[in-house]
Amino acid sequence: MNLALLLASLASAIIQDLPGISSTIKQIIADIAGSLRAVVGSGIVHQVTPLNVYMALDGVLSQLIQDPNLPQAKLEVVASLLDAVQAAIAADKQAQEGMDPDKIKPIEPLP
Amino acid sequence: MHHYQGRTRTRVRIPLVVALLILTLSSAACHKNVIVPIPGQINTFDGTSYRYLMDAQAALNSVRDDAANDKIKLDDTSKSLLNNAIASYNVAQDAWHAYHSGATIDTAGLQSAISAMVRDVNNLITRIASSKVTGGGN
Repeated sequence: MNLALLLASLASAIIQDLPGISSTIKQIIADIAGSLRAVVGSGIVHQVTPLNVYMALDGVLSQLIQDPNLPQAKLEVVASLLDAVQAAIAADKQAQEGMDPDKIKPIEPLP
Repeated sequence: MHHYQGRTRTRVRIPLVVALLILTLSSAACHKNVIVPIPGQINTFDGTSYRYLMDAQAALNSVRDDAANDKIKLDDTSKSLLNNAIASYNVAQDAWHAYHSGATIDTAGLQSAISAMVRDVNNLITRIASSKVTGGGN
């Protein structure tokens, strides 16, 4: 699966479901998603690495969370997504430093 | 005067953020063929799978903790998607441990498990970004 689709689908979901956000933020998200698609489609790369996608997502969400028009309920959701993306960035950087199989552990489902 | 200057700075800053992100992605594109091996990997596929699993584990634990602590409220569908993603991750991490330890050479099986995990994490994140999930304070 092309991970660029992750950014495209997330950006689309945010734009579609948050009509209160400013046109500037919408434009930023659209520009970033468009740029990523352009890079992927240019033939220069065959695959964008997960870290690049996470970094782009981090940029999108960091801008979005500053929008004063964002409702409180959505602010908490965006903050949670931002936490998840930043956790993934930290984990990816840690993973590149060296393998430790003991760090790959099962996760308990949410009851 | 100062107010105008502040607005000007704001107008400059936002396109700058976009430009920096484009530069980051373009830079990554230029270095696409340089894959730095992870110390301890048995091959590139092993290393890439390890990174996917580390990333997914961190993201899933983050979302799971936020849901468990009521920072976000998951509806039934979202909770089901979270547990699907966790189940897919657990299958993939089992497959990776078997592959990395040399107990199996089933690359197709591990690839399939990783792909399923990425798909399910994607479905979860898209759902969380939708209007069906709200903050815990609401």
